[in-house]
Amino acid sequence: MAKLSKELIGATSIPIILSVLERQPSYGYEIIQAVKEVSEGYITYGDGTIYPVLHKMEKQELIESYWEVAENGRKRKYYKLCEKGKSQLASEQENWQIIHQIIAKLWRLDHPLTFS
Amino acid sequence: METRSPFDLQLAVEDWRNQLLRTGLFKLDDVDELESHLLDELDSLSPMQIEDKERFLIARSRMGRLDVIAAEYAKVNVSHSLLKKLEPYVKGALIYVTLSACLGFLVAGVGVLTKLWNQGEMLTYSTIGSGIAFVAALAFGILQLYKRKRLLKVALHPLFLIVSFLLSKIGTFMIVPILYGRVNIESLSKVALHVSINNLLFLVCILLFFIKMMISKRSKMTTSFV
Repeated sequence: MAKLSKELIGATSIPIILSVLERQPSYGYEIIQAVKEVSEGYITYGDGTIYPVLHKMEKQELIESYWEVAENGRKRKYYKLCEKGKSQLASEQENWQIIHQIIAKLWRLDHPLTFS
Repeated sequence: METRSPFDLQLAVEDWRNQLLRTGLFKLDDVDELESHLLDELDSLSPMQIEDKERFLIARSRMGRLDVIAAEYAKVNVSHSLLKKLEPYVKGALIYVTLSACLGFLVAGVGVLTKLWNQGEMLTYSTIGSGIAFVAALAFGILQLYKRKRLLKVALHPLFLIVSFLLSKIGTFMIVPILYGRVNIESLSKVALHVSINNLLFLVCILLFFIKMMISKRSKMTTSFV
């Protein structure tokens, strides 16, 4: 399995976390597991280091947190998307689509490329 | 026959939690969140049917190295971590200022009273005023020390504060004979006031040095997200 660079994982962390939280509010451990599963193991966030990112996103008002008692009686801190986070996600989706299209075009051998 | 003490998982989690708190870089809320994560990790390892100790060690290692986690948190909790690190020094500085001011007042007060006593003006308003100021300063100093008994223990821990305090006081007694030719309470009181100003400037320098050190330490932190 090819290993993704730390820089790439770092750059994609915000849109990925926003995308996970768009589906439903979640907590750190669950977010890590969800990302690991959907990326088929390509992206595995460090257990203790995801929280500073979540806190940074919270400071930016992209997400907000609240404590909730789970079924097993344990307290868990959940994160949910804010309005600002929703618009940020829409913007991220647009940006990543553009990047994806550019790279896809460049990597298509039959695509003409002119140099001025 | 050697007997092994049973591993107490709850105690181990508690110890780990205390370790985080002792760094001073995590807020209580952060520690609660990380503990909740560690417990989730422990739960996920339950089906493996391994001993509690092993389960704990695996879960703890999955959480990552404490210094790496702390460094990541320090990036977010800038004000908290910086203040927390500066706290003992600021407390020490406050105690230092209080002690310096008390000693300055004490020496100056005794000097004024001695001078007035020699001039036979003990019952003037200035004599009474000086006496009140002297007693008030002393009472204030004692009250502060009493209220901050524990604080004093922590605050004076940084060796440089104690050394600088002692040096400045020794310096006072060495400067007096040089400047005034002889040691008396009046000359001591004058020098004590001057040295108090120097002490304050010295204190500002120490604080600036520590702020600079903390900032440069933070910028050198090379940590990764993953």
